[in-house]
Amino acid sequence: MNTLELNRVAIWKPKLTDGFSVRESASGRVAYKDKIAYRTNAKTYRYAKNYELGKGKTKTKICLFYVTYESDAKEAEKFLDKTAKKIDVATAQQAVIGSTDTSFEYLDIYKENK
Amino acid sequence: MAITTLPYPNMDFVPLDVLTADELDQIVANIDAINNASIPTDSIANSAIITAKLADDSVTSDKIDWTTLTGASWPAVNADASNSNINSDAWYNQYDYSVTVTGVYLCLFTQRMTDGSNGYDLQLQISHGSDSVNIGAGGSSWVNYIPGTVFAVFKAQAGDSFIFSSKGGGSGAHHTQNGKVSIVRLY
Repeated sequence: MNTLELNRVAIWKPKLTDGFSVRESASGRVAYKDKIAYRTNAKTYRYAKNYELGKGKTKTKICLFYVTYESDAKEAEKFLDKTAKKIDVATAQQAVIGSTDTSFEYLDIYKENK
Repeated sequence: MAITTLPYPNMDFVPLDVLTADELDQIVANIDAINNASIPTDSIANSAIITAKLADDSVTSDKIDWTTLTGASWPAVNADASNSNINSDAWYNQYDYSVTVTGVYLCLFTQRMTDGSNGYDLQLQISHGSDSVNIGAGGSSWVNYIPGTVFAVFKAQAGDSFIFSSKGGGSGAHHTQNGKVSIVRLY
């Protein structure tokens, strides 16, 4: 089961719509840091966007998302766009194959707080 | 005014998302918009749903009001038609019609023969290139006028010709007369 880790980018199968989307959550969500659970003390934002990687037969569509305290959506979209360029097609294909409706893979990429 | 899209379009979710009551209400509102024809202001507007979103077998002719259907998609019936009388007393008649518009044509040809008598046939033919439709009428009964009608459907290119010919045959030449040729482009 995947747990919530703030600011860590996750890769998942493509979401329903390709565009950038934001979802707010109230404080008090259970998150984990170094396997220790805590509750978020402020509103969190989930940012997500679909990307198409590779060409021809290797073309793969993925969704990148992360949850953060930061409310700057423009900055979040830029960060996701930049992150998508760093992901290789093989990693994307692997992640999509392993994705279910509830499971995803975290990447070792973190959004640094401002 | 009816809406042209869902009240809450582009909703999507990823793992770890927590749906609030407000978002669940939005999903319900989207469903209602599709479903609720009794409240026109909340329902989907005319033309908001494109035909590609409809299953082919859901579109049936009983859903069509033929009295209000606009003509834009109708076949161009009569767009290129000819309707000519052939009044002749010759034993052989030929009428050539040259097509100006590529399409599918319905060709009708009717003709009668005077002095029809036992053993004398009326022959009619409509031809288009190597395709032809023929009939022979009469020959078995004693009548004064032997009528015949033949029809054919041809696909024709602009510049092609249809040839309508009639013969009053038998052991002697007999006159054909009072014929009519009709050509209608179906689509």
